[in-house]
Amino acid sequence: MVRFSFFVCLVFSVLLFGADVPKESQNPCQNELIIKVNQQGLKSIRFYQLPKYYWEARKCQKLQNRNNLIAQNERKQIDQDYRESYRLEGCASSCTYLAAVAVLYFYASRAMKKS
Amino acid sequence: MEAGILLGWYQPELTGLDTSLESSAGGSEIIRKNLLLGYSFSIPLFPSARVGYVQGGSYFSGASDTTQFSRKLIYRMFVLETYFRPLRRLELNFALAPMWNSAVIKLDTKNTKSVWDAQIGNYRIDVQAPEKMSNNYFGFASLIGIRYYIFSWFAVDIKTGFMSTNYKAANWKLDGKIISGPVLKIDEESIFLMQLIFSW
Repeated sequence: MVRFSFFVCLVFSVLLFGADVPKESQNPCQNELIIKVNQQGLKSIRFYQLPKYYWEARKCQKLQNRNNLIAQNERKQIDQDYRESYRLEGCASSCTYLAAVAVLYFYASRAMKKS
Repeated sequence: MEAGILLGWYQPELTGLDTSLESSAGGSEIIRKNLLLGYSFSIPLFPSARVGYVQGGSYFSGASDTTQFSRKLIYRMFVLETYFRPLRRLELNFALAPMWNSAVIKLDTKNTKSVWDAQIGNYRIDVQAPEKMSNNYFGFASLIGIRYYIFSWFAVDIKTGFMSTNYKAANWKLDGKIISGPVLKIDEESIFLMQLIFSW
């Protein structure tokens, strides 16, 4: 009897409170991945979320009849990456010179050995 | 963070392995000797530098009637890489990398099962007796490369440079004992690496 009443309570509570659970938005443009990418860039989402993002973004493009959503976000991320690393500063440049000189020295000494 | 699949090419002289099964094996010598397969991953240190790990390996495995022979030469680079983008999708990178390498030769002999059978009776024990010798050695590599971003999260990276190692044929270990192993000329090698990079 106790088990039965527990089961009845469980079923009713699921029916009652389950009705209040908000349904996921059907509009692909309102998908949280697309919103996040629009606001924070493509690298704000995880790598494994990329296929889902592309899927939703494609659906959104079709819905809104605009073909540049994916390309626009891609360009935005590329621009952001470019702004962050278009020049070398501080100890990064020292490491660069060192690596370049080491490689050049190696090839030059090898060429001299051969000749 | 970035992860990559690596394909490399170098020209070692594996003279010490010329008498092994490897020399009589068929197939392409380029795949057996010159090709490096591996992976890499790295994390950004600050906007124009990253640190990472690159591992490339040269592998061979072959068998005769009684012996299974395999060897691998593993090159591990702990990379400090700096980079900048002269163009939006194009990156130039420069890497300095201390290395910790290892070479492993494994020999499985099947005929030892007859010895087992002779000792404990004919139970047809199908066992192999593996023997493994290994050698670990330091090295240093310096590379310059060019990377093209096809997408912001996917790029093709091509590097060239050299690696210098202190491999010594007299430093091999077998069952805890130091022995002499094959003479390999891998002390100064120019290398080419191509990587498919996934970044996020």
